[in-house]
Amino acid sequence: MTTPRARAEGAPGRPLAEVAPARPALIDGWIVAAAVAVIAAYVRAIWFTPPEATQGLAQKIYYLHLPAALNAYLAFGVVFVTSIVYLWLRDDRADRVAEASAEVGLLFTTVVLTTGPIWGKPIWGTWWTWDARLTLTLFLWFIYAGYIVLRGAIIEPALRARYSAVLGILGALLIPFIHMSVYLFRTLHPMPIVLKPSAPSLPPEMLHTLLFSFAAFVLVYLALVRARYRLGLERVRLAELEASLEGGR
Amino acid sequence: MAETAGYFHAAYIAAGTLYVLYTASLVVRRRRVLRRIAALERGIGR
Repeated sequence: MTTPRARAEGAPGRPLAEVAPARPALIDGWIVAAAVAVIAAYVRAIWFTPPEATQGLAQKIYYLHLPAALNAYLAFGVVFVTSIVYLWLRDDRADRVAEASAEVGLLFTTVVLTTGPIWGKPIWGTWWTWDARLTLTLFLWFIYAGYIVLRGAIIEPALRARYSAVLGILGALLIPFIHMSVYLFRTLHPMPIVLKPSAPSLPPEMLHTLLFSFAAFVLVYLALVRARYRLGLERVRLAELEASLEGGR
Repeated sequence: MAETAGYFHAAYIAAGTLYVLYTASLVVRRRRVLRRIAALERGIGR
């Protein structure tokens, strides 16, 4: 009987190149688990959490907006740490994690900058205002969009990793200012009601929905970073193959 | 209570769409890279 491994390595007498390579799954268990968790968070927020008395249903945007903001902080925090690790140890894995985390962080920041104005319009009466919290978050988006563009523009891997590590570290330094901006400046954006020194000022059913939603989006962060890291790894393999073919000519 | 259901639905649909589009972009980019790797490996094996 042929074992799966023997089948993958090729039947006896048959050249390896003729055997179709095993096709890796494009959607893995992590992505499926994250999707299920997000659907559960949506269901809980929409149907099983009471609306706020004055804002009505628009307040439920909170269960998407805040977890996206916190995961963006997490993602860029990981970029900060792994970029330092790269500059210190020159380990390519740290650079690939930073690359993956920056891209996913940019996605979360895009969600923040999309859901925020949709929430702001009915509550503040305007889609956008140039106050400190909103403007600094937009700057953060531009910095990491620049980070992605920079990575695409530099061909030499070591140079690309070094320059983007510096930008990744400097960009993440904006996060404490964004968090503190509501205390430092007069802004339309409300003060934190969960991430503050005293106890969260939310009713328990809303707080539980928020925590559930946050956990679901952490899972989304992990699943997407994992998938993006794998893509980075396969791009390295492709570059090596192309280089070996160039060298063989 | 304010009538804000339209904004609530818009935000949930917009966020869901962004997450799905990004995941789809990962799948498409990965498929493209894997196809190119498979083509090159077939070339080397010949």
